Amino acid sequence: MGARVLVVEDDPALRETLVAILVEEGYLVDQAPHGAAALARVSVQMPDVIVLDLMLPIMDGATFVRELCRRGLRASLSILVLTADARMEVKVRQIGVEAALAKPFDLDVLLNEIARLAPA
Amino acid sequence: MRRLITGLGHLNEAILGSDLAGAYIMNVGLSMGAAIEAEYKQFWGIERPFTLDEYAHVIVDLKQKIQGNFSIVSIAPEAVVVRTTSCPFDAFVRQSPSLCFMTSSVFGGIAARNFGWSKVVLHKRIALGDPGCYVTVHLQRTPEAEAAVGREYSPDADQASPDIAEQLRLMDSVRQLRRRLGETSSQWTEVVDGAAEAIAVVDHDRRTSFANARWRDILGIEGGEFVGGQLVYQIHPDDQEAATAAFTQALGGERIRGCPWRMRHRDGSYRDLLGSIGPLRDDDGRIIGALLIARDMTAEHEAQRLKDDFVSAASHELRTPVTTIRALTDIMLRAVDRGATLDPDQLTRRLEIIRQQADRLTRLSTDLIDATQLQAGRLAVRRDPEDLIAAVEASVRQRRDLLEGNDRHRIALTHPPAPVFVALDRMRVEQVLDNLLDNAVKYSPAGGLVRVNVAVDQQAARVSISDDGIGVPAEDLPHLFEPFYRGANAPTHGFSGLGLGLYVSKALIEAHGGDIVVASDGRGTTFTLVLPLGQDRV
Repeated sequence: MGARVLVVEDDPALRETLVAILVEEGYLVDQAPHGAAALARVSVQMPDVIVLDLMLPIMDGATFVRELCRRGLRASLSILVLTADARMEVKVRQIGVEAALAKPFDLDVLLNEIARLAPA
Repeated sequence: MRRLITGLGHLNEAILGSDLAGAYIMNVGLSMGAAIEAEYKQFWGIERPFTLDEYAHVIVDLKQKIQGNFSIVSIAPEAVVVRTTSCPFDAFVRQSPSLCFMTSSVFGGIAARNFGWSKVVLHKRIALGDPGCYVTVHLQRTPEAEAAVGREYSPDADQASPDIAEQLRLMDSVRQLRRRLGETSSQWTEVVDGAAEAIAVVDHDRRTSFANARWRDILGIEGGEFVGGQLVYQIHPDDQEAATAAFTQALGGERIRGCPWRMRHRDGSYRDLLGSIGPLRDDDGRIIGALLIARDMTAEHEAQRLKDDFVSAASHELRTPVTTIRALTDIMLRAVDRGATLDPDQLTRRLEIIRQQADRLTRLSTDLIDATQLQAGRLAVRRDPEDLIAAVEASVRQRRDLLEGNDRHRIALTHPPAPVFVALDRMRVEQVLDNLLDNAVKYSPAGGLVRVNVAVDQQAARVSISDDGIGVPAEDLPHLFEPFYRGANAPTHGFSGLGLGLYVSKALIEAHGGDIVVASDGRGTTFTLVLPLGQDRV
């Protein structure tokens, strides 16, 4: 435990919920409402895992991932994408992430995935 | 058909081979539209009539625009400068299609008829590649020309300078060819022109030698304008390579189906075509060109794109609240399973979120159902005399209840002391008020004040809802009540929604004989719901 997780989600209620759940699980949790804010957070504190929504305002999830690659930060963290659209599968594969879950997801599945991606 | 195309091929060979694409069409005559002239005068700051030198530059300039090249605008005879004008290119063509082809020096002769200038001196040849070359002309006034003003112009090849005489002779042979062709092909032209598919023919040099009405319609071109242009230049740059390869194959005798090409309309937009291309042979079986038959898929593709966007947005809008509800119930159930005691504040907060998300889903499904009913013309209201103030109070009370706990917004309500009875469907009016209040809260910052005011005069009762939020950009205002429309600044501020709420709200109030109007100065927005009292006043 104690791994750092960054939650990037534009919907305030879902973001608040995810943060609350992960804090309860013992993670060190940071949050951002969109890709641009997430980049700012990453530059302050590198997370171990990013929980990322793809449909985001200002800077969407795919652009955010590309930005991480461009800055050479991609290799040192894992990304779990949350999608609301089943047809996003192609896009998820294109941007290349460690894991993806379709909304709504089972809480246990989410927590297992994050535990798997977070360093022991 | 084949005969027609063959004939056209010969015709165009004659025309194009002679570098006379311009002269060919020029015999329709020159008449510069007054609006075009005015545009150029305004741009150049000229108030007097044009000199012919200036006219010549206008012509070259127009031609360049039509070809999609840079624009040459200069009134100094020797100077060629690259500039753009404020002239709306499309309007030129609509008003004066014949202008498009005023490129050869014969132009001067025609100009003489109309404007009383005569002697044409070839001023400058500008080789631009396609089609052939263009010239700027320098025109001189002569006494003969002044005498000829207003009289019928009939060019006399014997009297003309060698350059002009050559062109006039070619023009004449073109005219004869056209006449001969017209006699045999008019019925075929009708058939091909009436076809639902776009049909065009390109010759061995990839120049368009024929295009039917549908094709011209798709590209926004008129009359014979297509003749002689390199077809590939009208194709989207990304598709040009594939198109060129297909032309080569077709001219080599192959038939290729299912070619998806985007072609540029005159207005600059691209049309999605799906076509096939194959060889066109003459009576002896020789390949004389390639025949293209295509369908315009733009509307279908656009409809599909809108549908995809909607499904994607709806999916996101519906799944996000469900995800929150699911995650919160999961974690609370886990706590119960483990026998843990839930912190009362935390429990309250989580249940509140669940309620908000459930309300959000209810509103979404109501909007979706109402929008469907509305589009089917089945959205009805049942009006009874009701106190409007009571309805507004109920909506405000309900919204305040929802806001309680986070304390981020305040709602101030002002209204006249006496009840205001209006014939209304109370449930529907409350739905509209709820929607407007939800927007006001959503689009204004934490701590913001939402002001609700009820006013009444002889004609109507008005409920205005004002916020001090991000406002609505002026360009969005006219579209705000369109279905699926979302303000350009909504996504950047992270606001979700399907763009149905205002559409449905306006329809509901219109069903009451009223209206919703919106005003925004970029800092805050006011929606005013107007319900006429009329004879309905109780």
